[in-house]
Amino acid sequence: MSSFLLAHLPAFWVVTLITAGLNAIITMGLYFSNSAGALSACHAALAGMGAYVAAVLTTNLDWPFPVALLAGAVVGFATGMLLALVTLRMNELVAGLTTLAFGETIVIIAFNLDYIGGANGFIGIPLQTTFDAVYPLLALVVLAAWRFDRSRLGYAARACRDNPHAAAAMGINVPWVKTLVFALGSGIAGLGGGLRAHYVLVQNPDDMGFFFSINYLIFWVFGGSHTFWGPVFGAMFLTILPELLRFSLYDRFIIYGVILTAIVIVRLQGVITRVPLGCRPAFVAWLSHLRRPPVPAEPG
Amino acid sequence: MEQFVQQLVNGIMAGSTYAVVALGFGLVFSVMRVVNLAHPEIFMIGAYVAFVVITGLHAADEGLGVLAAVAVFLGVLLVAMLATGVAGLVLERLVIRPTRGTYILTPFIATAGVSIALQNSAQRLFGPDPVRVPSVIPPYTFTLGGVRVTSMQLATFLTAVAIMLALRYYVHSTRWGRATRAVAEKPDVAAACGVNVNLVSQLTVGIASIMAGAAGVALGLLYTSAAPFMGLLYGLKSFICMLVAGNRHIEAIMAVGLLLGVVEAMVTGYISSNLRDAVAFALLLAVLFFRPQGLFGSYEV
Amino acid sequence: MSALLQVNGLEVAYGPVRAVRGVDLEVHQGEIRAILGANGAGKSSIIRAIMGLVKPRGGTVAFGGRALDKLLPHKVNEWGIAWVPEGRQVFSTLTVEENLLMGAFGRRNGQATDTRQEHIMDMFPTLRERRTQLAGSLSGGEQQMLAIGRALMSNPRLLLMDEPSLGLAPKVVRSLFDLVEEIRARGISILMAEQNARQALRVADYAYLLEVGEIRGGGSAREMEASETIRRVYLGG
Repeated sequence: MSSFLLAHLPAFWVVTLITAGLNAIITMGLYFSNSAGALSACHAALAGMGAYVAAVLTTNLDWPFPVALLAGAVVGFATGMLLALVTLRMNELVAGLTTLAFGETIVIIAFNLDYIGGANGFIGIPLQTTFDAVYPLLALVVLAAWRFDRSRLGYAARACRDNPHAAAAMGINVPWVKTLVFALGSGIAGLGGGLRAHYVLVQNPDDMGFFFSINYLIFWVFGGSHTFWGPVFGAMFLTILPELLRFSLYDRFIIYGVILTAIVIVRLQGVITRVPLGCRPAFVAWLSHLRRPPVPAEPG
Repeated sequence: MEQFVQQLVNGIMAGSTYAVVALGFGLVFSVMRVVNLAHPEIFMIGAYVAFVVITGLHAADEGLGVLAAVAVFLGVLLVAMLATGVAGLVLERLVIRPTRGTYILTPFIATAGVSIALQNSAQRLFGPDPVRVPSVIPPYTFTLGGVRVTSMQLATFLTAVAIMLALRYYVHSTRWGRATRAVAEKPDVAAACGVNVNLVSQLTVGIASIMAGAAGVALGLLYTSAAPFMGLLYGLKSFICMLVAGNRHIEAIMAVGLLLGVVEAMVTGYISSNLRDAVAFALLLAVLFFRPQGLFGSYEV
Repeated sequence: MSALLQVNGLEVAYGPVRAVRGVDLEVHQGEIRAILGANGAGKSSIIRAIMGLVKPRGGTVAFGGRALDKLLPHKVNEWGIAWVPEGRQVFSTLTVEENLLMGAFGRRNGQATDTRQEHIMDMFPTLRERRTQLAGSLSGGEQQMLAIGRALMSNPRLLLMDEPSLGLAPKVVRSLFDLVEEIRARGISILMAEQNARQALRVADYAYLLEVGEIRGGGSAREMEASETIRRVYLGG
């Protein structure tokens, strides 16, 4: 597949598509993490942890690539589980901030660990990620999200998000659900991070910081945080957009920032709290309207 | 012992600027429940304005007498505060007002977009590397009982203190400050009492931006540099100060800012300067774990 | 004589939920009118719509002949309507005195405000006693007095009271409604939403019965007291 593309697209666009795909995978992790109402502000750090683990395993210990990726995912999963447990009893905002602090702490630790390269980052990672690796995996993740949506876990998670008390009253084990989905999302982040590291061939502590975590959050919200394919759309659109504006290095980010702000504002006019945000094309919104059961016109 | 006091003093000097920037964050957050991610960039604008004005006027080329230096310093402060005040008002009208009151992430992302645009505009205009901001304050070092304080540190500290006192006066002793506190607590009730909440919103962001601008000037001169991404780390730490202190009392934010400065100085002096940046996050984790609403309490979000 | 407050066909909805459906009501100068109804009937929504805190989806609100529906709350206050919110809602981080001053925020005249403040504190001696205390430290009954005093500070022509007796002890409730009559005696008209029908009908001139967003009945206080429905449902036979 990638040979077909390489033949027909300029290499530059292949790079962009792969990067977009990687971002999409990582952002899908957010879809899971945040599905029960949490706000993961350390997603980039989780991805980075998976990346470091996978990179060290392939580069220093000669592990096979798929196994190393898996190891990275497992590390992400475990860390996510831990984080979820720690923040269980906090309110949303504080929990989110705790994840933020956690992420930054990880960055600092990475800066100071010479084994993984310290401030200079971990280099010499073998190129293992190709187009053929990224997009099938992305498809897999999206499929998993689609199944998740319709599964009992998915419904439980959404119930926890919308009304934790009612969810508990219905017999849902809220702490368990929240922890599990957060861990799942973090595992996917770890997976994505590992993939990315074997494409970019360098893993820096900086890449795990607040700035990048915010980027993933932006992809997630922008694309439509409440649908399973929304994050993919958000990640790909917002990764490709700056490339479309390739005047100079700084100008395109200026325009990117302005467009981002403008779209959030415009989309927001007349929308009240807690309605799914995003920039879904009108006809798609109409389509999903058909899928959902009709809202009763009057209260009972 | 001497080193301890020295670090204490250094810490208080540095901490005062954290406090000023944190206050700006805290003000906007507690009054409008909005996290203004562009706040650190407004701080950055302040520093760049200082750069432009001072190099433009060639104000630091020859040495200046103390009086002239202070005059120039105040002049630069004024210009920067004007510029950032206007920037804040524009930001409020265009970005914050349409997005406040809804889901908490919306103004967050909208201001994130602005912050990205501003950072890269600065890169575009001034280049990615830090520029040298000549310090107009003649470099004296005062020694008091074995403790050394530079004139620039002093200027920074005094500016910060003046700002904090002014803010405190505004919030506690003026009509609009009272209205601001009322809006922070119960915006609907305040509105029904005759308070134009939109106006309070503008005032609040304006004041926060002016404060950030002044802090930017002070810091730009203190470290004689301005850089496009200087807002990032500074903003994050100030944001943490706001979280640790809770947004109910502005005095709390001031205190935590100073505390952070002091602890960082101690860690740098006694342990290692590499860990300086970790202090803030460790503090945040520790406090949030035991007291999620911040040390001194917050309003409901 | 045309009404001081005239509400016609008021529609208030939150998303798909219609909380207020085609409500007509009016308050004449010098009257006390009550909106009776159970929890969730929509009483608060009507009050909030009049105050400008929620934008009605339809209908009109006129005050002194002028249309009120597009105004922001601070403008509504400027025109002479004050609000005593449900659950008192004093500014707990402000002092008693500061709360009162907030009530007069729309009126910029310093001298008149001071006089008014003295006046209110004459009405509520407890408030004078506690003037420098934080409002959050007051008891429920004291907070209610403060909330009413705060509303009166703007010298309103119409007072909107949302469930004033909620959460108060019975003895306090009686003196509260006595106070309501006193306020009317000073020339201020009152529209109150109340669940406590017995007390409300004691002081009101006219009452409306609101159920699920619609006015199901209305009449003078005597008529309402005598009506079967009211007696059974609200007054306990």
